[in-house]
Amino acid sequence: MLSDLILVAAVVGACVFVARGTRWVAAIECAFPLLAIVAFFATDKFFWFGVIVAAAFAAATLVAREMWVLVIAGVLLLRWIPLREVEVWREVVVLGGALALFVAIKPRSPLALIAVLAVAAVTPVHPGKAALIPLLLAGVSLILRLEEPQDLVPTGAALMGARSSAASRRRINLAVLAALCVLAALFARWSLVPILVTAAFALLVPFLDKLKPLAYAAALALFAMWPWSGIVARALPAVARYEPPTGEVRVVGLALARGESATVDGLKPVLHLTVNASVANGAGLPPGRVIGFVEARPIRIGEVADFGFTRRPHFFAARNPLPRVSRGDVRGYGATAWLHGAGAIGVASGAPMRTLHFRAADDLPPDAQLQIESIELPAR
Amino acid sequence: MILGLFAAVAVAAPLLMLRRRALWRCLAAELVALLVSGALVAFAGLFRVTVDPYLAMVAAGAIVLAIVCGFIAFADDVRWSANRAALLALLFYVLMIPLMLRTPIDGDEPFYLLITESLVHDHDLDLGNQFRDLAHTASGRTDLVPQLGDRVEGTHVRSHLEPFLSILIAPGYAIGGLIGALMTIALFGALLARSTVRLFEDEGISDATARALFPLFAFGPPIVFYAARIWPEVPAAFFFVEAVRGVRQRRVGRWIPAMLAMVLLKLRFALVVLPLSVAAGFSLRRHRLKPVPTLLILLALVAGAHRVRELVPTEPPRAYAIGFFGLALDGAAGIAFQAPLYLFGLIALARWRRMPEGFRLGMASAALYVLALVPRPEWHGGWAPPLRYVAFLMPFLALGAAALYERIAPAPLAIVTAWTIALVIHGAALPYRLFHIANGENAIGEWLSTRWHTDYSRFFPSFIRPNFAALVASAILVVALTVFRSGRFLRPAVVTVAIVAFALSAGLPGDRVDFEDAHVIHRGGEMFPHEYQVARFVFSGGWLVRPGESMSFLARRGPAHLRYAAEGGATIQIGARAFVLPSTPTNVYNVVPVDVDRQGRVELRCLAGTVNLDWMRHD
Repeated sequence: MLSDLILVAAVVGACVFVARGTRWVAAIECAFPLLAIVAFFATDKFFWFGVIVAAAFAAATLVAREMWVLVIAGVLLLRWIPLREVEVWREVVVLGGALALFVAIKPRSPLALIAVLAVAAVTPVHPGKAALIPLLLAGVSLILRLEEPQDLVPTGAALMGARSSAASRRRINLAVLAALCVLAALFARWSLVPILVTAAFALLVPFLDKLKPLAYAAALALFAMWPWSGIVARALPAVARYEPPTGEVRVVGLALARGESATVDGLKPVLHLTVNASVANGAGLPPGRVIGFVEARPIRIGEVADFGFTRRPHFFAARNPLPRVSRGDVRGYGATAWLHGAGAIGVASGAPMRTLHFRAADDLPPDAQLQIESIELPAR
Repeated sequence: MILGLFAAVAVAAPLLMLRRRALWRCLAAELVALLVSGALVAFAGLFRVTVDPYLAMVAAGAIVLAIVCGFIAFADDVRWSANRAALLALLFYVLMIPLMLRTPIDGDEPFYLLITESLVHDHDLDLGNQFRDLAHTASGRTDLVPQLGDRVEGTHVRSHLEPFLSILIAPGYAIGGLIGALMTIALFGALLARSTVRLFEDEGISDATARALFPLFAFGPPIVFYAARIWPEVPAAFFFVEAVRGVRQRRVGRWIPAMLAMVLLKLRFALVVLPLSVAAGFSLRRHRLKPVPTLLILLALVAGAHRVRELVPTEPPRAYAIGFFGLALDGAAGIAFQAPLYLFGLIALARWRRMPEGFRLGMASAALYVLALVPRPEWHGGWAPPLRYVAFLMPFLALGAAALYERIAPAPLAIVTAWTIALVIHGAALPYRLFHIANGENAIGEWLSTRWHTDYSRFFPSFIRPNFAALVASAILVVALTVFRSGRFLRPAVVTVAIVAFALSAGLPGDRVDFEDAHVIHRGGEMFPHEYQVARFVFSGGWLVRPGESMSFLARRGPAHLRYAAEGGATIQIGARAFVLPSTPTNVYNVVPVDVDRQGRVELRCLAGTVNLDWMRHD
C-alpha cells in the first residue's frame, strides 16, 4: 500500500514536472498536501485520492509540454496499482504500445492522451498477446497517416489539392474503421466491448474537436476512478446498474451443482423479495442461458454472472455480460479491482412466501454451480 | 431554489464579465465541472462513498464559480470595471443568502431584525412588544430574550444595538421581509466591492492585480459571509472605504456622510472616524466645514447612547499581545486560518513606507480602534462569524496585499486560494459553523479531535486559551513580517511535510488536557458554562461531573496538576488511583497535584461530590 502511495506521489510529481514554468505548477503542487490530508484524516480515501490526482493530472494535461510523460504517468496510475500484483513484462508491452499509439495519433492533443489512456486501461494482459492491442492500433493509425503526402512541399495548387484529398481519404478511412469497431461492439461479447469502443475513440480523435468539453468531462470523471481502474475498464455499466439493497438482507451462501436443489425456510411472509445469485465456473456461459430456478422462475446469465468473471485474468475469455441489477460488491483496488458477478433477481408470488426453493439447472457444466448469495426482504 | 439561483449565477457571471473566446471557454469549463461532479456522485454510490449531498452540492457550486473567478483573474477577454465587479458580487451574494438561511440567523442578527420590525410595524424603538410576540418575528427565533446591556424598564425594552443598521435595512424588510433585509446588506456588499475596486484604481493597482485579488476579497471570508447576514460590518466597510477615498480626493460630500454613517452604525467606529476626520480636517485647510469632524463625533456619542468610558481600555499589556497576535493567528478567529489572503495585508503593514497612500491612511485611521480592541476579552468577536471586529478593515488589507501581489510567489498564492475556497465551501454549506464558542478550539481541530479522540486542537495556535502553538506561530509571524520577500519557500511540499509531522505526532498525549475539549470522551456530565452562555468567553470553562459520571482521554504517566472548582469538595479517580479534591469557595478554582498511573488512554471518574474540572497539566 505504501509503495502504491509512493507511485501516486510520483505521478503527481510528473504532473508538476510537465507543468513547470507555468502558473499552474503551484496549483498542481497543492495536490501533495491534499493527498497527505486525505491519507491521514479522511474516510473513503481511495475516492478522494482519485479526485485529487485526476484534478492535478487534468491541469497538467492542459499546460504540459512533454505530453509523453503524462502517457507514462497515466498508464502507471491506471495499470500498475497495486504494484505487488503487476506482471511487469506484460505491462511494459502495454506501456510501450501506449507510447507508440500516442506517437501515431495526430494531433497529439489532450484528446489523444485521453484516447491512449482509455485504450491502455482496457487492454487485457491475459492472454499475453492481447497486450499487443495498443501496438496494433498504433500500427493502424501509422499506416493511415503514411497515406498522407506529408513530405511533399506544397509548391502549387495541384499539390495542395492532392494533399487535401489524401487527408480527406485518411479521415474517411479512420471514420470507417471506427464505425466498424462500434458496429462490432454492438454484437460482440461484453469482454470485447471496452476494447472496441476505446479503439473507435482513438481512431476518431481527429473528429472530436467540437465535443472536447464532453470528452474532457467523461475522461476526467473516469480517470478520477483510477483507484478502481479495474472496475472502470471491465465493469463500467455497473455504475448505472447499481441499486443498493433497500430491505433486510439475509445471507444464504448456498452452492448447488447441476440438478441439486435446496430450500430456504423461516422467511417472514412476503409477496415479493429479491434474491442475489451468481454462478461459479460459469464465465463461459452465454447470455440467456438458464442456470437454475428460484421457485418456478428461471435464473439466466444476464440477470446473474459468474461471480469472478470481471477479475483481470478471467475477463477476456468470459462470455458473461454484467448482471442487469448489481448490488455493487466491489473487491480489491486499482487495476485488479473487480465486481462480484452476483445479480439481483426479483421473485414475486400471489401468496405470501415463507420458503424459497432453489434448483440448479440439469444441464449446467459439470464444474459449474449456482450460488445463492443472499435474500433481501422488502423494507416495511 | 438554490440550484436555480446557482444555475442563473453560473450562466450570468461569465456573460457579465467575459467575452469572445474566454466566455465560451469558461462556459465549457463550467459544463465540464458540472458533468464531472454528476459523474462522481454516480460513482460514489457504487463505491460506497459517504458524502453529505448538501455539502457536495455546495462544493460543486463553489468549484464551478471558482472557475469563473479564475477566468476573470487570468483570461485576456475580460470586461472589467468597478460596476461590473459590483454586479458580479451582487450575483454571488444573492446566491449566498439562501445558503446562509439554512439555519436561523444568529448572534446579533435577530436583534437587529427585531429593531427593524419595530421600526416598520410600530414606528418606534421599543422592543417590548416584539419580545412578547416572538412568534411573528421573521427570524423564526422564538428563544430571544433581551440582551446583556439592553435597557429594560417595565414592559419597555430598548436594545443596546445602534438602530442605524435597522433603519438602513427597513425599506428592504418592508418590501421582502427577512430576504429583503438580507438583500439590502447584499447590496451594500456589492457597493463595497465597487468601492474597493475604485480604491484599487485610485491607488494605482493594475487591473490584472485587481482582477486576480478581487474574487479572493469579495467572495472570500469574511466579506462573503457578512455580505449575506445582518451585521453592520459590510456597510461599515463600504462607508470606511468611501470615507478614505473622500478624504484622499478632498471630496467633502463623500467623506462626511460616510463617516457619519460609520459612527451611527457602531459607536466603536468613532475610534476610526476620529483620526480620519483629523486627517480630513488637515486636508480641508481653511474650509468652512472644518469643524464638521468634531461635530460628527459629538453627534455620534449622543446618538449612540454610550459612555465615553466604554472606549477606554483598562487591560494589562499581556492582553494587547494576545489580542494582536490572536487577530492575526488564532485558529478560530485569526486571519491566518479564517481569511488567509489578508496575511499579505499584514506583511504589507511591515512595509509601511512602500505602501500606497490610501492603505496607509486607512490603516493609520484604524490604529486607535485596533489598539482599543486587542486588549479586550472579546477581541475575537464573540458569537459571530470570524473576524467580526476587523471585517471593515479588509478592503485596506486587500489593498496592501494588492500592492505586494506582484512580488508574491505563485505557491503561497495557490495555498491561500485553495484554503479560501475550502473556507467558503465550509461556511456556505454549514453556516452554523461560522459561529464558534470561544473555548480555544477551532472547527478543524474539533472535527479531528472528535474523530480520532486525540488532541489535535493543541497544534492550532489559540490565543483565546493561549497554548504553545500560539507562541511558535507568533514567532513565525514576527520572522515572516521581517524577512518576507516573495514567500517562495512556502511551497505545498513544505505544507505536506508539516501535515505529515502533525498527523504523526497527534497520537501522542499533549502536555495539557482541557476536559471540555472534543478529544475527551465524555460519559455523562455537562459543559460549563453551557454553550449559549452570553459572554461565555469571560468564564473559565470546564466539564461538570457528578458521581458515576466519567471521561477518558490520552494522558502521560507521572505527576500532573489538576484545576477544578468544587464547592462541597469531591473525590475523583484517575486510572486506578483516587484523589480527594478539597472544597473551594464559589466560583473559585483550585489547583491540586495528582498522579497519573499509566501512559495512554486514562479514565477519570467522579466518585463523590460535584466538580467542575477545568484542566490537567502534566508536570
